[in-house]
Amino acid sequence: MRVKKSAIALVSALSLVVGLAVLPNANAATTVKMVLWPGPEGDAMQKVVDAYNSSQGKKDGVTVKMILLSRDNTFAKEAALMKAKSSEYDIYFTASYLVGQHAPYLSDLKGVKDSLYLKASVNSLKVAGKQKALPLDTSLHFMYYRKDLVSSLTANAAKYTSIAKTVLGKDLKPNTDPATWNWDDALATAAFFTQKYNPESPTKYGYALPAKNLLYNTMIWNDVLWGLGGNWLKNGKPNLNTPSGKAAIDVYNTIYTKGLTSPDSSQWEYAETNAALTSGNAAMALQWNAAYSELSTTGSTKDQIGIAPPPGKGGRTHVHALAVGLNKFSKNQAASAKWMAHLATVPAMKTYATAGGVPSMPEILKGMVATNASFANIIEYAGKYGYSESAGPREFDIYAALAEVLSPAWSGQKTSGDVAAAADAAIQKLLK
Amino acid sequence: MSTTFNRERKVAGWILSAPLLILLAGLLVWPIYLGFQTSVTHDVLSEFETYPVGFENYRSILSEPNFWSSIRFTLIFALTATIIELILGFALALLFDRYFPGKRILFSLMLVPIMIAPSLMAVMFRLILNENIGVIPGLLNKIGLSYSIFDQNNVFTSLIMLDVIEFTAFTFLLSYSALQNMPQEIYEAAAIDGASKSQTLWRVTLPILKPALAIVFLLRILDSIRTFDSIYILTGGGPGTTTQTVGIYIYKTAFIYGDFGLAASAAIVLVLLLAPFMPSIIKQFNLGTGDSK
Amino acid sequence: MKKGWGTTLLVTCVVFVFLIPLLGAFYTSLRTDEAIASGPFVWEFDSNFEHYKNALGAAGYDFPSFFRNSVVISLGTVLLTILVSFPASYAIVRLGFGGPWLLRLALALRITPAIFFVIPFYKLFTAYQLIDRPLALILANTFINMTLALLVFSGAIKEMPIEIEEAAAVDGASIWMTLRRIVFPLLGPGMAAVGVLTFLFSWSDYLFAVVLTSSEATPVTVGAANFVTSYGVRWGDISAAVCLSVLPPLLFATAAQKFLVKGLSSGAVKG
Repeated sequence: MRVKKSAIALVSALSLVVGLAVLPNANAATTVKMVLWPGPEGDAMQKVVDAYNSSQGKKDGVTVKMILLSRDNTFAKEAALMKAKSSEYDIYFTASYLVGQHAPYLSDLKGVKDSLYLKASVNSLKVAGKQKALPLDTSLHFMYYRKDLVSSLTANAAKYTSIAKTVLGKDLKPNTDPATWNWDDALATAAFFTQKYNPESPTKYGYALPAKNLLYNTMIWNDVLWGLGGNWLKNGKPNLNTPSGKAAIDVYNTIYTKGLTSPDSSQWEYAETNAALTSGNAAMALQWNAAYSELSTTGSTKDQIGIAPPPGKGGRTHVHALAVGLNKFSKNQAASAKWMAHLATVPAMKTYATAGGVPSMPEILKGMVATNASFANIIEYAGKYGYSESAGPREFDIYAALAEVLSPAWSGQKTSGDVAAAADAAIQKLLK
Repeated sequence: MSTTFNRERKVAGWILSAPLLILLAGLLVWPIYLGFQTSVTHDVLSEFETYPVGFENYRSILSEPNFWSSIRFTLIFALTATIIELILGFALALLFDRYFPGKRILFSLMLVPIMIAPSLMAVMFRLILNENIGVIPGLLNKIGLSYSIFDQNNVFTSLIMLDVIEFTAFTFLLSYSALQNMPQEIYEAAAIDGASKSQTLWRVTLPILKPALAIVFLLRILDSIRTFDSIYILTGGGPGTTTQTVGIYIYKTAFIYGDFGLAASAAIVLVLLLAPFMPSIIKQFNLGTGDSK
Repeated sequence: MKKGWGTTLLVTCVVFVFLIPLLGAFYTSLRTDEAIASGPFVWEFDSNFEHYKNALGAAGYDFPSFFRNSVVISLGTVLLTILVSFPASYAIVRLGFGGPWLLRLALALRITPAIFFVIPFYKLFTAYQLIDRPLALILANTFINMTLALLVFSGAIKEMPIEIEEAAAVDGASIWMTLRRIVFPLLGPGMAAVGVLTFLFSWSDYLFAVVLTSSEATPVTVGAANFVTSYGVRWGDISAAVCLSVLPPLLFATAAQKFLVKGLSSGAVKG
């Protein structure tokens, strides 16, 4: 009796499963599928897509469907798809640091007006002179710092100098204008706001260091390297096993080994850095510009967050653009091109910005400074301090390789001398 | 008479195994062929063209120190975690092998960790272990302990503890069902013979359950060797490569460095390394085929 | 009875430790973003249940659809796994089918990292138009869980005294009848264990779901990961999603418990 019942259950369950499993997909007149990141970019883009589908899209005969893949897995999945020469998606999500890897699988884009965009962003998406992707959001780095704390330094000059001497072995006076900082200033200020050296410090640590073995953390560390005058390559040869390279590694190493940041920061990246700032446990951090929306609206410190360029001289903030590119193997090339042509216009990006995106168009950013103060900084820094490595198709890999080789030195397990040579070797291997 | 019976058995054997064989043929043979083909190819994402390179990838892998250190770490991690999980899981199964109030609810709750995807579990860990906004460090601070969870010296222990929390439920469930399979008479006989509780456990229960527990151990350690999600999300294999498992190594090689050929060869080398041990392990635990009691 | 409560207490403590992540998720899901970012014990109750609202219907998070997919995929996997593994295990153990190499092959499967299968599966399923359909994930998950089922069933069948089957054979029962009427019911606990574990593992699968689905067949696990954005991790939303995603498997495990007990009492080998 029980067996019979379960047999019936089995059959009905199987039929249900089979039935649901082979449901036909809904069909529409040329649907273009586009991959995007979830979060503010996806939310904002949805508005642009909806607007297009209900007006221009009808004229073009195109309906756009947006697919959201999680931030961590988007690129992995796209790699698998590209490898398989898939035509499942028409438009891929990409970025300046990946466009070299993706270029073979993306069609060239025609008719993109460079003048509409931040120069650094639109150029970072060209491969061998061809525009391979359309810029969406621009990302760069800020030095976020606690305004209230930094301005209090002048009143404590003597203590500052003595701590700087103890911790860094240097004679330093307080510098309350982070825009003019060099790394000595930053480190001394961080030491001053570390309770280990200054029990009266309101913050437990002076710095929030993202030292996890993660390629995005290498991008941040690059700012230190460039601010100190260093670079990945010099005359085409790896340049980290040099005084400037080692000095950059030493900055991180000092922060960690001197306890200016939490020991847990050996596993920190974006989210943890934010948490340190919003919970009032860190006084400064080099961090992505996107963090401003969280830092300025949540936590006990939200009104005290200031923005400065990374310390140092010259072009010293990493700039990259998130972007969308056209799948070479898409079966809907013409339709996708029409949609992308629409995306490459100011009105479309205006919708994007109003809905929360950060488009790479200076004209739009200027007009929205009231909503997000950091937009002004984006325009200024991208132009004045922006810099990006152009290291060929394996640039993405170099970030990852450097994270792997350098993170032990960042978190004090090894010294700069131990890893600098290996870093150069890793770069050399990936130069093609 | 006996030949017809044997033939009937043979035919029945084929029919019963048909679904399995079809599945294996479709989902195993083809991928292995494809995987092997990829492993002897230069197949990198950033290069459009692929070309055969013989055993070049294998040569690279075999001489790659990161690969071997990841295997070493994986084995140490898997062994430690599995032994703890087996002992803990079995002990819990013993506890559950009797009536106590709330058993039903607690049983279901025991299984909850497996219901959460390891990747989501890892994200949760990331939150609750966060020094600044996580409850665990918060609690530790309140009671005066200052334990840095991801400090170099503590990372391994922390990762093991997380694995134990995540997967003990697995060893528990299997041990429990093995215990349920024990015939009642054995206990009754032992009781009649005057055996104490612990004597019953060590002299009667464990020996009988040895094959079943061996299966549990085997399954768990094979899964543990493939550990990826939790460690990747929490440490990325770092700092450097100190917590890099072979699963993370292969993932990174394929999806970050885009070298699918190398990754495929690494996966195959892994299987080849472990495969020779399988027959002897199976034999050891008497999982043999066709012989009846 | 006093002894009973001692065990309850001990078990509760252990269970509590294992549930810390989930309890943390629950706690987080009820706080406002402000509170979460300020510190572990800052309590500001989110009376709007904003996070649950987001988890259930925010942009791109179509929970009902994800939920339905997870259920279909997990149940389908359980059925297919048992269908494939149970008869085969019997064939291997009692009918000597496949010799020793079949089980070894299955074990070799278990060693191979899932990554290895990702691209071949993608190519294979694309060729048969199964991408973004639940069936693809059912097949992939069955493939993964097959080994567990084979080993458990094989072990359990080996443990069964063969006298019963021999008696049935003497009575004229065919192999099929023996399988259905005798072996299947006796395997109650093993069947339940395999069923529950297969369901739970399929429910929590992530890697295959990411690669083999895009929008129609996405299960709950992939959907929840969308709360890790480039602007920060939406801790509150993802906590709520995790809490919600645990409910169905919890109900399933509770229901399967009854089957476990029933299978035991109807299948006990009593003299």
